[in-house]
Amino acid sequence: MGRLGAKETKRRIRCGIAALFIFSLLACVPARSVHFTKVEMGCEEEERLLLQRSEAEQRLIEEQRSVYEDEQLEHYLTELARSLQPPEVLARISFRVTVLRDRSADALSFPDGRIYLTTGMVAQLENEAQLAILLTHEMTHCTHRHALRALRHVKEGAVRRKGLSGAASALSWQNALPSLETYLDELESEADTVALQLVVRAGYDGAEGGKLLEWQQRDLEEGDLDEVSRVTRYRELEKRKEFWHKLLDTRAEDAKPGITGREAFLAHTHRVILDTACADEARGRFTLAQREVERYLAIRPDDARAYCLLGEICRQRGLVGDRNKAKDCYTKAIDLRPSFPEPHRGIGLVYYKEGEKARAKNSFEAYLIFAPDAPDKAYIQRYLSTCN
Amino acid sequence: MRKLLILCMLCIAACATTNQATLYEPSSRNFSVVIPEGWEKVNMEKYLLITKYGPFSHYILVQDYGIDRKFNHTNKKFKKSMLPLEASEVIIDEISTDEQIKNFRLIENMPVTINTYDGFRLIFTYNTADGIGHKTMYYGFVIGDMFYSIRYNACNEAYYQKDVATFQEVLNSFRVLQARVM
Repeated sequence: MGRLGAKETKRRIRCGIAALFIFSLLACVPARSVHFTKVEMGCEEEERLLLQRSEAEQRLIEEQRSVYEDEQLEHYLTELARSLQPPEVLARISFRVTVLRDRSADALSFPDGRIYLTTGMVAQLENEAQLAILLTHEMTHCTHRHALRALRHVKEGAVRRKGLSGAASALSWQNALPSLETYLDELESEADTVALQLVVRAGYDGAEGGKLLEWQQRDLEEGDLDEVSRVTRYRELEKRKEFWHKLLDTRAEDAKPGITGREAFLAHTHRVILDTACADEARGRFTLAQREVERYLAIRPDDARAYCLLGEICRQRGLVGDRNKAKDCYTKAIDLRPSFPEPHRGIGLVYYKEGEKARAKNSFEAYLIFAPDAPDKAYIQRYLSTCN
Repeated sequence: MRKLLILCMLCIAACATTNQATLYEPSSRNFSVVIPEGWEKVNMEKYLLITKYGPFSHYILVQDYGIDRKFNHTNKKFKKSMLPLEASEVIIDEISTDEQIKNFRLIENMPVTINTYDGFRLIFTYNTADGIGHKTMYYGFVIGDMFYSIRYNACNEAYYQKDVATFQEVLNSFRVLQARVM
């Protein structure tokens, strides 16, 4: 959702960008002495500037971060997002969802309806209900003009401080208005409230929002955060989870069980899930990677690559029982696709380290038959020479 | 990588040029190596970094550290029982998952013997975030609880070729100090 980043540092950078974004706009917009809490009509100039800046930010994002090329996935996400909004909103905002190749779980939206999800975020979701909650949350930032309201909030604070100086100004600022961070939290809560209404109206299970936040807390264990940031982030998620449960408790009509749409979600997102699992395996986030592969296998149970990847995870993790599990996975991959070289290599390495030289030899030989130009051929030949 | 270059810049003033080849064998390290004539030692506590034309052009970096050390970009760790191929894959993952490293391309991954120890040699190229291309030859091996690496990095092919032979001399002079092997 708006601030569901897995990396605290990235989140802070984003907050910084948001603040810069707002403050740079302040420099452009003529100050007026206005006092309001709701967005007024007639603020076209600010919105125009916001939209201009949004376009520039989006260009920057797409230059700096690689877009995940999958037209079908993008179409699915965009169509799902649109299906959750009433026609009058769609007439005003043209929503479009783009996936960025980034392992950290993150989502962000722009006032023009552009939404970015990272591959890490998509892979973290369990079903369509969770995706719908995430999308409606992000869309609410657009439909409820959160960027503009945050800008106005900062401007109002600046106007109130004008005329006061030093400590008086600071005190006045503290007392008169909540801090920007608190105000942004309020906007996040509003986005959650609206998201729940929209997804329940579409027939999805609202309880999935709490589960999504729980998954995110659990995934923090293997993330990139240091201990302090992890604890801080955990508490933030806990607060949001409590808010979500409170919403469900106070709105009995929204707490009714609905659909989760797990199969539909996995059918459209399986590729990104497997790609993310590969990225997590390379980063040594074995528990996350395993969970992702297993989710992939639930929808594609005959994929030799997935079994091989699961074998690699177990072989490299090396916990009690992992060696046997790795062998089972490699064997399953070989059964599914005998000419696939990697599982022969993987199981060969396990046998070699177990001292099962005859079995290792057979596996290494099979590997080199199916991959005669393998980049690690010299190692395998060296190991083979000791198997005789 | 980037952090390393910044550190190099900060420490460049503390460089000590050797007019003749000298043996580097500090009590704090588990290895010894000969620093070639004309190369400068950049004072680093955690590793040995030497250069002839400046670390932005090229450098040789020698490191020794415990196998339980946490990497910056991958959570994978070395294990005592690791085969050289497995150890090389940890290093490949550590480098290729660094977000500052662009266009990582592995040219070679070969088993080698370094000072009687079975290890690996990687040759790879990459670009830093500022677009500068680099080429690296990376030797590494695990013995007991320690991992050793000796790498040569140059900012382009011309610099790479210029001193690759000198790097081989440094590599050949590399010795693990047996008394300190854990």
